[in-house]
Amino acid sequence: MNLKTFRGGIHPPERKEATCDLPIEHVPTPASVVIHLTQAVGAQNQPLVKIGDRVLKGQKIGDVDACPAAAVHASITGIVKKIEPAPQSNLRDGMAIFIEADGTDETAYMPPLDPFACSREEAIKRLRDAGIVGMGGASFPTDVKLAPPADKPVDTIIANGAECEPYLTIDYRTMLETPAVVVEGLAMAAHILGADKAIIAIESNKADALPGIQREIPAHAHGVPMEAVLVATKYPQGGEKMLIKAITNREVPSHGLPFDVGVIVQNVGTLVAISEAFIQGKPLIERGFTVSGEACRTPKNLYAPIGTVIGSLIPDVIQVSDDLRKVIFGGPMMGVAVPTLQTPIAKGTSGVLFFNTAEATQYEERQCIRCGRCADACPVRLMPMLMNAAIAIKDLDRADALGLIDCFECGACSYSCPARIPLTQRFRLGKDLLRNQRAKEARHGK
Amino acid sequence: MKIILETTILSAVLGLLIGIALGFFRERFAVPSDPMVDQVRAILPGANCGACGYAGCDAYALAVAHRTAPPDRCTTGGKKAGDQIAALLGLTSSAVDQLAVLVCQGSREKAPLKGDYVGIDSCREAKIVTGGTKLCQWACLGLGDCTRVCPFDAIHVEDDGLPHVDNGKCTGCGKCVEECPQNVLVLVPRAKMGAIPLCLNRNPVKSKVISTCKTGCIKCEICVKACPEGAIRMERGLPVVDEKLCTSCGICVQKCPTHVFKLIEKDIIIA
Repeated sequence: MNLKTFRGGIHPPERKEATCDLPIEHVPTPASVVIHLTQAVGAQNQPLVKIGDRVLKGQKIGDVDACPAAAVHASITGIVKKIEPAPQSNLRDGMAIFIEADGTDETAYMPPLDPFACSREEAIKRLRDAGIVGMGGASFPTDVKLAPPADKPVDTIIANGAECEPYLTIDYRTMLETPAVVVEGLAMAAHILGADKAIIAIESNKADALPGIQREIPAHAHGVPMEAVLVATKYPQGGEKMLIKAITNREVPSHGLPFDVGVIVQNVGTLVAISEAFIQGKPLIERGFTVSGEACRTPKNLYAPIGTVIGSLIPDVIQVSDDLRKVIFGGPMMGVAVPTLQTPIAKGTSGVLFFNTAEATQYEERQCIRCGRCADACPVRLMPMLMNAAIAIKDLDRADALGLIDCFECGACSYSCPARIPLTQRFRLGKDLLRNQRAKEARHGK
Repeated sequence: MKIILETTILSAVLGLLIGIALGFFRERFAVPSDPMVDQVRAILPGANCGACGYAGCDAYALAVAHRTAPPDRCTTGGKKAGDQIAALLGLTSSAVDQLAVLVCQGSREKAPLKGDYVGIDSCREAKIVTGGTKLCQWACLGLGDCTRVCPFDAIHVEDDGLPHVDNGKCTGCGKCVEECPQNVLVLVPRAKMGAIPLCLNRNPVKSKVISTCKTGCIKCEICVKACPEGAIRMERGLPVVDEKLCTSCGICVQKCPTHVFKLIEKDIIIA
């Protein structure tokens, strides 16, 4: 079968066997949660509650009058104990609200809203109030994404069920267990966006999820033309630009965004959250994530309130071996290694991986042998070896000309490099240096 | 003997001819140069560090002589060079001799790391991927970006994991200050006297400061209360010393429970 895909990419070991057959398990309400005020790309939220206040599950506790931004809500009912900086999964110690459960299960959800009956503005406002962000990892506010500028008409919306990161299986389980909700959410997003067509993209190694989705389309698509397609299993197939290329054969221009080619991509987890925000009036306060890795004795797919401290689930829900060396929030390719188990689950946490010493091995950097494997692997067709050489001599203008800004840090080049050059890390450094240089030039009015 | 004589004469004649030719062409193709540029260039130290913002000493000398740059931009030459150039051109110079000072005392034993950082050996990179390698997110990362940019070999990361400035070699060019991603290096006038707080921890939670660094400012404000001159005030969670009021009495240095304050006296920091 000749599946749709993009040029480049890599085939890392999938390692999904450990959790792909395990149903999503609901974690018992934790005794306390740590909810960071700002969990999305955009402006910093301000707390709406004080220490000592009683907050209800679903109550808005942090917001700001700015765009883009996403509100945060209490994920359990209880008392606000403190508001202070705490370790966050993006490694910046952001302001967080500590809530201690009082044992009750009262909720303060919003009234249900029919997105097909209400106005577009109302629907967008609901997404904003529900604090919905992209749940694949980037945490971009969904209300902004579903309201593209008027001069950029969007005709296609793609549900991203590729889940190309190794280990992670939460999107797959979501599609398998609640296909109707995914389809419903996609229909709502397509309606809000005014898209003519909706496509659910699933990687071929998760083909089992396809029949379930196809079965639900007639009943839940609300008249939106919708189809489910298989795409090749390859990393980073789930990158939105790669997915757009594979499915529509349109190429997002350099420095551009998906709406430049009339497409919007939403993760399937986000679609479930959109559906819940309208049907139940439930803000984004809980999410599913995969717990896996060689140092995890109990690989699972979990569903927990946002703000659940990962360390508090050990050892009752998750058991880890003594050889634990590294903990990663997100997937192994693009995730973030966190320094402490006191890190809470955030809106963008799609997985928590526990690596042992063997998995976390670091290799010494050697000389580039000009083999060009990084260029073969690069899904955006950059030339990592040349960019690396340019950054090494601080020739940032050349790195910029080579397309440094178009690198989205998928890690395919670092993975394929036989000399173990930390290319992706160097490009992050290069981008930072480039931003500084551009800022400096702007200051000096060059 | 004959060979030696012939060679010597030939060499002498050849040397004379080439010398005459060179002298002729020197006069014939002479490029007129602005004597003012040469004079300014002679005052400049010739380090070519680039701290003035120009490609090197020649480029800066040209710019100064053409009055497109102020005479006090050379930090390496400092006050002396600034004054001389200003006198030469009939301008005024506001150059002062400066020194880079590290405003963090979070050494290896005092400020623990939050995990093992194993990536590219650069402070800026470590900051991007970890948000700071130490528990204190404001601390010096100690990976030596400052050492690598210093044109004068004046700053080195030592055994305690912090960069130390060699006051004799530091010219106050400010390259390290510009490079440091944590902004823990500042320029201080060499003539400055008085107390200086060496901490940038802005964590509002007192207990968090102590758990992240043994020598961090815990916002107790004892220094503000103890200062007999009223020269210390808190600004965004950190003490600020008013230079004009400080008399270098050293009371804040003694009172601070976490030893954040140090006294500066003529180029040196006194513990």
